[in-house]
Amino acid sequence: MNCKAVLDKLTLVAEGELPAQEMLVLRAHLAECATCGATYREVTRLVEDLRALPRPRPPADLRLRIGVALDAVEEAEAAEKARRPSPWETVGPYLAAAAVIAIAFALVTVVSRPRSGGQVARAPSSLARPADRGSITTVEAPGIGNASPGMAGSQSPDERAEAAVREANQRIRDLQAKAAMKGGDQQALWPDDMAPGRAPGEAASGRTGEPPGTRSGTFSVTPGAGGGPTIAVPSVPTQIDVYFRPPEDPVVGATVQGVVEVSAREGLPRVVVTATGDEGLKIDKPGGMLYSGPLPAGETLRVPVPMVASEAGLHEIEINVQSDAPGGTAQLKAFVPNFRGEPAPRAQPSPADTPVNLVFKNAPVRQALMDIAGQAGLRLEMAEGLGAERITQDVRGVPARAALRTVAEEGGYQVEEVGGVFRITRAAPTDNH
Amino acid sequence: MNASDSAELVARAQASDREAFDRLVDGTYTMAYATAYRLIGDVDAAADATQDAYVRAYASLHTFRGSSSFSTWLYRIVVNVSLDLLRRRPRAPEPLTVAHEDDEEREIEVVDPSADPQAETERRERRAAVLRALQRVSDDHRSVLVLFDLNGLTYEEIADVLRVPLGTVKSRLNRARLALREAIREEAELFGPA
Repeated sequence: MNCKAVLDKLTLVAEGELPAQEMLVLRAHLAECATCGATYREVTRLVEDLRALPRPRPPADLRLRIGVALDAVEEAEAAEKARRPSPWETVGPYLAAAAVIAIAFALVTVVSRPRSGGQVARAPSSLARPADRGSITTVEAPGIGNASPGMAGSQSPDERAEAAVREANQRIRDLQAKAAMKGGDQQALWPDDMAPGRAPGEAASGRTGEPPGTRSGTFSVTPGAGGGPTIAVPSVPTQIDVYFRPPEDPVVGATVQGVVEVSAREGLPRVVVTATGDEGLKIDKPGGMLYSGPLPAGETLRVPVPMVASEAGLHEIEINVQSDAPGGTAQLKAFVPNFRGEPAPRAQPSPADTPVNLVFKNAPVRQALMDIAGQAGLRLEMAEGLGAERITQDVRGVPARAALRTVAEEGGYQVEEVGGVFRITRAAPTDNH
Repeated sequence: MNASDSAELVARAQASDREAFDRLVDGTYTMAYATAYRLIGDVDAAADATQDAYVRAYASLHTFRGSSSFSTWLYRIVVNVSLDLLRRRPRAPEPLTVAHEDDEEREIEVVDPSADPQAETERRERRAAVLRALQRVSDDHRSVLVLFDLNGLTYEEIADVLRVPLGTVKSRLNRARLALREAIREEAELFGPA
């Protein structure tokens, strides 16, 4: 028997899957041939090593993510069933414009300005839904993403699944933002005194003398514009202007404020504005959440963007404005130039940022919250008689603050952080957007 | 979750019982994630692939005919999604970090205080080398190693998951182990003997 024939059967030898006679012949060769014998021993050792590897632990939020994604699929399927095909949904933009019911095509455009290179607008496609009357559905930059230009009803199962995944990811971001919002200072979101010399309602375009780094984007949703995925919703032409002003004379290590200005010709019941900085630029708001609420027609929403840089020089920031329509989101990338100074010393981590390692199965909310606070050394305040509801949550590896919020929300409570004390109260009814 | 429980849950899930599908997810998602992670070698991408796999499974549950078990069917989806993700996204040169392995060790291992520290260090280095080598072999080879040696599937189940003949599974597994041996030799040249 030659060596190649033996090597071809090493696994069968190792797994004991050969007839006894053949096994004897092969084992004899392995004992006599130093090369094949060494290979056999190395391979069997490797197999032992592989089988001894520990099973990787899933991220703490994975089960939640799967659940949210499945919710999105369910809703998409329900919408699909409820959808009543209309001849108007298949006509072209010109007929649509003349129709009583407008068929809205989504279009995102970005307006470039002098010195404003590098900006990017991107908006993922969304699932088609039954009419969200009066709301806009901002959605797709032409040529970006893989949604087909056909009607949602003609999507393949794979396309629907992909759309559902995108929708789910958006919802997860919403949930995270919502959780972060509860810890934020909502009063500070309307910085009337922050406006750098601009009257409310002034048009965002055509201004001059902008400081370096200023960026703007205009995101339009226009009936009959064509090009993007089609969304069968009655809608009016709507345009969202997004404008970013970087902070003046920013210094490393200090909290400095830029401003995002958002306006729309048509009022929107809800927009969510978030920001993320690059590695050396931290947005000083939980989860980068800057604003969540209505955008009145013709008014300019000015939202401060508190940020702290750890390195001097140019930084990048991404502003995300999401309309109330599912998946209707647009991003503006901008630069924050000229941070000066030395790198900031590392901040001491707060106990509330300490990850906890707890799993609750049908546990009373009060007990779960106390366990989290106990493990991280936090002070908790909760009125007598509250917290009997039972919850099931896996918060292994989750920072204590986020774990408290997750568990509290699940039980119908909210968390306020006041002077280092985490106060638990019953959650106010929300619109569950 | 045994086979009959699983079959009953699948039947209920196919009749639009979401709770039944949730229970199927509860019983399988750690396995699905572990498979995706070993195939992809990246925590975030593996989580994305796992989520994607369940969405696809849920959306196409009506096509599941029960000729294989639910978990085998799910494995097929997880493997396909993971390999598709790898094909679309170039892999990082060093996809597995020591930190990840530390996480895993915290998960299941109890450190024996009486253990020889040097032996323990060597064992950890060897493990890290094996994991790096696993990421160096081809997708086909890694798939069969992950399914057979890490997940403990049978040849028949792997043939079903990968949709290849039984003989192909056996010969591919043999070649995969030899390829892994070559890869760990290359590791030794790069990082020293493990």
